Amino acid sequence: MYSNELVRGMLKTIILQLLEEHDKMYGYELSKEVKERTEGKIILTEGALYPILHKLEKDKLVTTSTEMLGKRKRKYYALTSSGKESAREKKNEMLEFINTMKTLMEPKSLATCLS
Amino acid sequence: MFELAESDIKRIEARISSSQLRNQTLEIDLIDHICCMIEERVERGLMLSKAEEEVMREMGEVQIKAIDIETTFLTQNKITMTKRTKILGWIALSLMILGFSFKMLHLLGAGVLWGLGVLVAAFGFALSLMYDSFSYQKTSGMKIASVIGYFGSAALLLGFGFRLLNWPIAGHLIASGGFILLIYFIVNSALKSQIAKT
Repeated sequence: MYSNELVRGMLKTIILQLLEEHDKMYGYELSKEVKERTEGKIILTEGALYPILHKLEKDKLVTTSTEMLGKRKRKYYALTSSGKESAREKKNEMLEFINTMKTLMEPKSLATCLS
Repeated sequence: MFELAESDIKRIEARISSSQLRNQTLEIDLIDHICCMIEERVERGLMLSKAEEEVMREMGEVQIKAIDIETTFLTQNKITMTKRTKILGWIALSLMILGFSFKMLHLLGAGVLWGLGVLVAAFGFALSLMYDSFSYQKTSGMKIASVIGYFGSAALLLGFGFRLLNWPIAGHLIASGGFILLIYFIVNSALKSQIAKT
């Protein structure tokens, strides 16, 4: 599992990316999907997930809809058009960041590639 | 697929409600999340009571409050008063208005009412507001600033209260309260700009 320090800044991007892949998702579904896809290396805790989702809602990047699931309510989150745009921007920024980090962390392998 | 019964959901709802979330919209999220966690454990073969016990240990009141505080911090970026603080504020204000009115009408008990109002304002309302602010702040610097802010406002409140009663130390309290509040505003704005930069 990666340290919180490393993951903290990436959570918003992760959430936006997952929401872009689905029409709508609920909180638990998001945390489960992250855990499964990263094989438990990244854990999206409730303490990190819901504050970010509510902030995204406040910033009008996601909309919510509530549905009845048996005897309880379930809140779904879906990207707005500006949310989709933000998801794309964040994804590109992240990919660029990963490449930059690679060049920084593996200077030798880059030099081999160039030669 | 296992689904919780209505009575189980009601029990979880009552537990979340008892946490008195400042952010009411969080309730639906958290109730559903806890239900999902329990259902998943039951599906994996755990007894319902054991699953619920495990989840409630993981998502206790402290964790729920922490999520609430973090959500409030991210979405509102301001201190929200708890019900306790609001009630104390209204009691203090009512006593002070009553005391002031009695004084204007030269009725007996004006000083007592005013004094009580000032005391509730300084040691009830302001203290409770400081506690709200303290629990809401994320950095130790901001927590310390909340305490400084409390001492400043309490001294100022007592100073103005004592002035109306013509008590001798009123001037000192107002001066020191004002000075402490000045320090609070300087420290607070410096910390806020530091947070904004990071």
